[in-house]
Amino acid sequence: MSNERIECERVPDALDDYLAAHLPAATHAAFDTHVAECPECRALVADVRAIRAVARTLGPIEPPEHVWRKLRARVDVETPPRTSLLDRLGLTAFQPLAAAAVLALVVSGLSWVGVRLADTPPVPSNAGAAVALPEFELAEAEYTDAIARLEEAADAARPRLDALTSETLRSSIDDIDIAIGDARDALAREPGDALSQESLLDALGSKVALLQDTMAMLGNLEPATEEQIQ
Amino acid sequence: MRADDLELARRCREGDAAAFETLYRTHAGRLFGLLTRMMGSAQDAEDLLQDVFVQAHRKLAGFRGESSLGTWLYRLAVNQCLDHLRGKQSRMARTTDSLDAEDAHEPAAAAPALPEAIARIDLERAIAQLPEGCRAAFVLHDVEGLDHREVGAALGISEGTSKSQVHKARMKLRVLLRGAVTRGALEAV
Repeated sequence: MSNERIECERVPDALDDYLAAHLPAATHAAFDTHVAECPECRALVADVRAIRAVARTLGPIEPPEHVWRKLRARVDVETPPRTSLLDRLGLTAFQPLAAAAVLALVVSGLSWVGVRLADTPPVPSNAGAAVALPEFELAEAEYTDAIARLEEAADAARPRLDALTSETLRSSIDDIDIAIGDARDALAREPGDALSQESLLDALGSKVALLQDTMAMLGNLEPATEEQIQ
Repeated sequence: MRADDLELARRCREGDAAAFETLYRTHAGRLFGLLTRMMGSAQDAEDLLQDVFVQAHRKLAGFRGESSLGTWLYRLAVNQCLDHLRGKQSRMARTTDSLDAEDAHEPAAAAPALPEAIARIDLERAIAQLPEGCRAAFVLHDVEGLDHREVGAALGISEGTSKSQVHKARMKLRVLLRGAVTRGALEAV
């Protein structure tokens, strides 16, 4: 027979262990005795039991549909479509000959394009929290330099692109430029802000990736296209 | 299951809009429930839910499948919520302090006991009225089922403080729910 006694002051701290039957047997028995004798603690235990029982049944709450629409718009601005130009032209992998025909004029004569993936600077990793300022500035400078060289090549190729491809590329780049502008504005207001730095590097990285994809696709298709046309 | 998560994450990373919508539709309800209760405001929860998925979209490249996508998103949501609450920390401290020791040992026996079956809607409304500090601990412990050690780790407080905050929340809820019961009884007359 245990002589352990429970006072009211101990009840709140031990209540969860009591309700979960995690107390040592003697302590649990003393708790039972106290609850039976003390109306205040008996009411407390009953009420907490009732609150916990309902709390555990509170389930998911579906957000209003406009939340998805706003989110979609934010993500669209931050990230250009990563599909290939073939996808944007409505040409799938099952239409290689059609793709070749459409792109034949574009890629012919593009051997001058000296911009290759290997030539562009490594894309800095921007995962994680705050980027130290010199490292951030270095990454921004690398991106900016890569973008300038890629844009030069893309601008030279633009007259040879069909209107739809050219417009799709322009529209995607405009979206990214808006995101770049927003991030730079935010950094002007709050220099060193980690989220704005991350947003700017993300947007610059997206622009590099889009331009790289464009040039790589044009370069990679050239030999296959000629064979397929024959 | 994990393979499905990795495949969905891969498609999202590649800019597959349908995959990102699937990710959202699958997890938004649970996360919105968590955020609504943690913030005590559906409007704040809507903004935070967008922030969580924008962050997820940016960070999916770092998802390695070591936990499920649901768990990964849940951690993002809790962290996003706590960052937001920390921004209002001074106000949170004041509101938390308003729950003093008198609440902890109110004369419960003199008050009508809570019904065994509390209406969910009454509890949702009462949770929204809790001070921010103890509300976060209560939601993580009593609604989400984390133990006090896990709540402490999530909130950056000790296990003992978690117990104290959850207790304060329950005491406040007793008062709020008795008010709801009384109002319901009066409306029924």
